[in-house]
Amino acid sequence: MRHPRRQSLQVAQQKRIRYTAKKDPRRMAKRSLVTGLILLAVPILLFVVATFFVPFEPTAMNPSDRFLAPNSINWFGTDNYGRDIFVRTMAGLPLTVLIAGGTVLIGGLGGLFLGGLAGYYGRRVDYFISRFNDALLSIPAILTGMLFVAVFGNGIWQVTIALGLMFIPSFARVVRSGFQEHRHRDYVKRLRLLGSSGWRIMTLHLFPQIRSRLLSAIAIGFANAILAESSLSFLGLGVPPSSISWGRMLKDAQGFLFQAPWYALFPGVLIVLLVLGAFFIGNGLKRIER
Amino acid sequence: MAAYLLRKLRDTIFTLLLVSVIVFIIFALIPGNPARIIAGVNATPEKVAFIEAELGLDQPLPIRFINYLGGLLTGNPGQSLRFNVPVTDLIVDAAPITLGLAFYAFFMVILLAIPLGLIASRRPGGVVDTVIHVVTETTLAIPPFFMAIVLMLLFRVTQADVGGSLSSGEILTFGDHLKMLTLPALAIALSRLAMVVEFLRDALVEESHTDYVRTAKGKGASRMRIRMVHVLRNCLVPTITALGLILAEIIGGSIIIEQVFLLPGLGRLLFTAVEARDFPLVQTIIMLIAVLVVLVNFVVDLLNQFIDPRLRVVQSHSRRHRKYQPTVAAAKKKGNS
Amino acid sequence: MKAFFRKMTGTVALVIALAIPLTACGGGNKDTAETTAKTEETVTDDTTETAGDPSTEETTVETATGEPKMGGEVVLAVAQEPDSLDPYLAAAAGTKEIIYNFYEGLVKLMPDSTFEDCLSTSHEVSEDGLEYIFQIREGVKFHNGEEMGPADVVYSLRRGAGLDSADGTPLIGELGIIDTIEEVEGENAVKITLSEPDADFITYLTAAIIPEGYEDQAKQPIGTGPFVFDSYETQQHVKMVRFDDYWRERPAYLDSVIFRIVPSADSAMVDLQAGKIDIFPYLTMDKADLVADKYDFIESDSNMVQLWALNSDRAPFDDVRVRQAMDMAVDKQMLLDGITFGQGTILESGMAPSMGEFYNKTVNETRKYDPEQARALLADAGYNDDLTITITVPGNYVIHVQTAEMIAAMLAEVGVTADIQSVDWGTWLNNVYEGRDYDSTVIALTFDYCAPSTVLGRYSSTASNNFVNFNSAEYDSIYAETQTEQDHAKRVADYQRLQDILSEEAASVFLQNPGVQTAVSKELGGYTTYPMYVQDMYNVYFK
Repeated sequence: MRHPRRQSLQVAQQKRIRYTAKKDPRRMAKRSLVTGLILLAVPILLFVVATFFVPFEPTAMNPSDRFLAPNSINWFGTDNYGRDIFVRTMAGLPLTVLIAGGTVLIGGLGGLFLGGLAGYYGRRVDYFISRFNDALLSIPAILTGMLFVAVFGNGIWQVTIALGLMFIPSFARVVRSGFQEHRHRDYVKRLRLLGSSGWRIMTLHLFPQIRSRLLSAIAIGFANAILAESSLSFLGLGVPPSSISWGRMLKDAQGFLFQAPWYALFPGVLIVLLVLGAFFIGNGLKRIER
Repeated sequence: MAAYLLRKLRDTIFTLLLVSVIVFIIFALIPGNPARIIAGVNATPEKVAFIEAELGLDQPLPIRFINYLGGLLTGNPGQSLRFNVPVTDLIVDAAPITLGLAFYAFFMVILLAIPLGLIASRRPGGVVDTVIHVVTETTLAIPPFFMAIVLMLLFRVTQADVGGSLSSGEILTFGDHLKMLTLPALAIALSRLAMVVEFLRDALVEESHTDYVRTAKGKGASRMRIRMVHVLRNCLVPTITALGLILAEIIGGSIIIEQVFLLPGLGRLLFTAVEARDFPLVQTIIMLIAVLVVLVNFVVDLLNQFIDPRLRVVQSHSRRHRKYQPTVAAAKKKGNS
Repeated sequence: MKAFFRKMTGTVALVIALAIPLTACGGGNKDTAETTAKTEETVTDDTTETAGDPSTEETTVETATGEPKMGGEVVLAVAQEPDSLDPYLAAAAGTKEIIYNFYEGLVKLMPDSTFEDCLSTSHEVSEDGLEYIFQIREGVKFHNGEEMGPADVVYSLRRGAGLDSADGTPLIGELGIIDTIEEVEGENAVKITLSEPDADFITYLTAAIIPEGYEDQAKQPIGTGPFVFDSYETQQHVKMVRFDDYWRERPAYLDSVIFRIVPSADSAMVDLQAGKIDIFPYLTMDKADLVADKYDFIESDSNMVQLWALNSDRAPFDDVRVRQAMDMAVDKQMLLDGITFGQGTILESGMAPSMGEFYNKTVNETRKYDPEQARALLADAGYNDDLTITITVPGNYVIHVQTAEMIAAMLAEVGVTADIQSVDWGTWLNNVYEGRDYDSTVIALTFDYCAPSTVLGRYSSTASNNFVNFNSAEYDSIYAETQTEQDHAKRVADYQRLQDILSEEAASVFLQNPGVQTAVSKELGGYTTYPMYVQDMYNVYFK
């Protein structure tokens, strides 16, 4: 839950590029993208394997096989119910991706709308929207998440919407600063004089300008959404109990940390792979943009 | 300056008001009656009504909200519904743990980021730089609670070692606290390190290309001296900015980490308060954190202006936006020269 | 991929996120479906077996041999922050289990569900059941050193009955039937007159006796119990110390007791493993082996009734056939094995075995787990594989969530789709319990008094707590009649009949009476369990 960072990273990134990318910007970007894809490939490949090769039901319990260390049958070992951790981890993947995707979708659309208004119209509109963003950002996102879940319950939809709403400010900021840059450009002024509506200018002319920027924001937002979802689930505020979530697996695993370290390790490592992959792709996209 | 401060104050108050309105709206939406939650399933409706009257819940929420805000102005956020003691008493107990942890982590970030930034900036794009970049990026991708779990495994520390003793009411010295909170703080610090290192490194790299550094080098000043005396000072602005930015996340992080190590801090209090629909308590905890975050950002602004007078001119409506502008603007200026 | 996903979500429903493993589920790697098929015939046997004679559950459990020793401090973990320490304002069960040690009533509930004179030495009831005369015990001291007398009894009960308050609202609803209460002249006794007879009245007289005119109970509780309140730190603990002037032949063994408030079962486990807690009353068996080296596990029957509550005002549950079909579609044995590891009793009606003779052991032995029959009944009611219902569960109660998951899987077998909605406790209380705005829910009902009327009263159609909206004219009339019935045998028969009706009409699907596990340090002895939620520290000692 760390939306403010996204833009700041972007700023950092811009500067990093200035000094490191001088050497070979395209290669750097490519390297970043390839690294990201490789990182993402690991969970995806494992998932494909798990699709064809399902040695156990994710929920099948087997008390006699409790806490087996990783072996040739239970690749990731078993948990306190003797359930296969590999199968469970893989079963948790679609949901994780689904929620993160939904979060980015809601956050992105909301951010486009609010950020677009603030960036294009400026003045009062900007002031109020910015104060609203400030307000949301000055509460740690985890708290907002808690409140949302308390209100709307912890179904998959509710969690996605709650996270999506919390991601609006960070997207709004990207859009806003992008629109602001272009608002005063001559071509926009000309369009306005020619009688184009604000809506038309925004959708047809300004939006394409920030598209690539938005794309990298989406990749990084996706990573942060995965982190946010796992944090919520870890606190028991995430997805409903009938769904497998990595955050929840980690919560359960915590009680058996020394007995079965692999229980915590595998879901955790998968989160990191997915998030890191998305980070690298986001950074790569940003570099390509230049 | 006075006009600036006034405007800043206005913005801050407006933002905080919005925070409390957001919390209020959420509370207006949550179903649930604090009196029934206290009374439990078996209580008769009469008993629930009795408790409602005791707690002053017979008034509608908007009125209670206005009363609450009024109380807040006079420094009295009222009585907790769930615990039946002044809200401030509860906060005073819990806040030191959460905020102590947050500031401990904050301190660690500074302690780790400065050397890392310095080392990374020595040869931009070199092996060391890349390694530090990849490592900090990786720690960024590790959820703080997982980081905590990994640290617990590495150092073979259990929850009982940390939270267990804290919540058992044993009397502990400052040193004990420090020892116990080191691991939790480290978990937070590591996962928030990346941005500060990046900012510092970039600023350092940027500065070392400036004319005055070249001049100093020409004059034969030692590399060390240039870096420590001239460059680092000028890099404070982006670093402080980055630190301000991560503060909210560090506080948020310490609320999660609190749960991992079972520390009786604000996070736990907030959980209970939300569950019990304890409106004054929830409001106050969130307001406290919001005030803190806003305040620190304000201080960051002032500090930056104090360090780098050039920044005093650049201003815009958005607090956060302005933070980037100075560095970018300053960079542009320097780039042109 | 799609197939995998579908398959997954189907079975996932069953057990995922169960915080309790199905270790009791027959061992080996029995598939869940297999278990479902198998357990059918075992249901009835098990019911009668575990139901047993209530007197067998009573106990001062000898956790091990060893002579009682004076002294020592025991730390006990409780899950809930106390609401008010004032015995007449406290409402939460979690509070009552703590303050039990401060206060005593005229009578005391014994482990075997009977009542014994406590602050009274004897009592008599008039023929018509309207007059009670209690001889008050002499030589009983309050914690503040004052002698307890009839005036205190009168004061306490008047307070509970609301006779002194402005609007006359009783602080304890059950005491509302008290018409007058007065000291008996020239005797150390108190006479209570009721406005109507209530055979369960004696059970309510466990109500605390507090010193007359003392208003500060919430801050500094004062009673006659074996322990004196010492301190209360919010979110930390309630501490109590031995009352040396206790009226029984000996004071408590322990010097002091700390009720530590733990935020979650997880943190309690941590404390247990570290040996920082001596007694933990809510242990789930999956965790037991983690701490088996330091703790004994004492199993006791709670008075809890876990049920899958069906809202009879709502389609499809307004149709008795649908409700009965639900009852047949649920494999209760499997729930018992899966949720409480077989440590509980399967229920067919709304009363737990701890209610003693009122409990109907033979209720409904005809309707069994029978998915085929359930399907047929549903078809009869006009539903052919197209029924979708919602189960709203309080998300903070893991066992209810798990139960709902398992029920949903069982319903799938009879062509019913169950959506599970998890809400937080406050929402549940508001929408489900008070608002009655739900299809069905899973919950465990507990009871403040060991009285059959508090257990079964909620199913009479006009009861304010009849959240299942059960409506049966026969039930109403029998229940009303039995409230004033003085003949004990007749009452027992009536209450047993009521349980039959609940079962016949399938007022809800009654699931089980979950057993309660208490982990007690091996160093301790004398821990006593009751059919109510109380923690009696009087007999506990270090060996």
